[in-house]
Amino acid sequence: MTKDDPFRGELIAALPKLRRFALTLTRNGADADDLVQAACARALEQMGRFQIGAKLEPWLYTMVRNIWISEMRKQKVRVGQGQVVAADTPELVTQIGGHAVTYGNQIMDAVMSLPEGLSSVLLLVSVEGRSYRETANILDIPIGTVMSRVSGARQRLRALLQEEA
Amino acid sequence: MSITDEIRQTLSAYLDGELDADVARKIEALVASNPDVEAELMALTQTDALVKDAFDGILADPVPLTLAREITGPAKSSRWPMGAMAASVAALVVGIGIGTYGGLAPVPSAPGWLDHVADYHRVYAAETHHLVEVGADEADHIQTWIGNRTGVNFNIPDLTEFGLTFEGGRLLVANGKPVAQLMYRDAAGTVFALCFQSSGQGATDGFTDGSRDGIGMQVWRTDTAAFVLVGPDGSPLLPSIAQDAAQQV
Repeated sequence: MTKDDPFRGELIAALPKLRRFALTLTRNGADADDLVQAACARALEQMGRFQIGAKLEPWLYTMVRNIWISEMRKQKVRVGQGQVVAADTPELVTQIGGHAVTYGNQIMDAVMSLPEGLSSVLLLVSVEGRSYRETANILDIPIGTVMSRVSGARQRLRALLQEEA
Repeated sequence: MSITDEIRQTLSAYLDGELDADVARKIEALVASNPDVEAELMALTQTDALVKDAFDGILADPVPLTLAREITGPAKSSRWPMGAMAASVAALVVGIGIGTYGGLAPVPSAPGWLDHVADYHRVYAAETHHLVEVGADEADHIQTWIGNRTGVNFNIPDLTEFGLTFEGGRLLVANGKPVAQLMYRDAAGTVFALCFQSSGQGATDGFTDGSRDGIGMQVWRTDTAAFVLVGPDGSPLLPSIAQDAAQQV
């Protein structure tokens, strides 16, 4: 056992939630895994800066978001891949372990078809129960924007689900 | 009364517990007195519940081994040369056991599902707080969820006879196929796992030792699935536990 084993253990335990958060940013499973992998590498490099007793998840989420905005997203836009417009696809498919897994329910299809920026806010606030302030800090957006985005996401989803009902 | 965007946004913030107490009380009064507003709040609540269920479903997806390896670090990963060698030796042992390889020399192969299972075991058996994704208190859910995802109908074996307590389960992925991992722990905290995936390779007559690189493994197949009981290498109990698990599962 090395002294950083507890940190690595917490990081492994956080992987399912990190992948889910990354998916709301990339809206593509393979890109989400690349993003999480990059974030984990950075977290391990910077674990000395993590304050013991602080919450690990927001720290990791912020790292995921920063890497997405500053590095991967630009690259994806430049080479014209990623950024799947889920509304134009019949279903959202993500590659997990080289095996296609379909989030084959209408709800996730609808969530992933929301305009960029809405699904991550919806996840953090509505699903994970984070405060507007914490969500604003993670995504580096104003609290008022969190409030309008989560409301907008709910309205759009409600309309989408009513259309399909 | 028509519902304005401002009311919708306030209802949304109310659901999130983000309103001051006096504003929240005004909203509650409005909801109580106005059926349209009440219906709007109900619809938002229902939408939230559906979204939460859908998002929570994603958490049950198997985490790729490459990600877990990124974290466990180079000292604990990059085992493929050893793993592949062990796999080819194990294939030879299995081949002789069931008489399919005859006298042919083993063909070196890519890491098989047992190599992946061994690597996952190294990652997760070291966990004290997050051994499983779904705990033993949700055994019914584990059975349905893992059964649906692996396509293998199974029972959760009771291994208390061997001093093993069922802790829960998770899904892994090996060679592109989902693998079930049912976790048990003994009084000393040592982790044992029963892993399986669907397989059409046909049933084996008995059990083979598939141990590799510090991980003890007893391997067998039924007509529809391949199983492996995983534990500490050299544990004298492994064959007996595997036989009992095979009868119960």
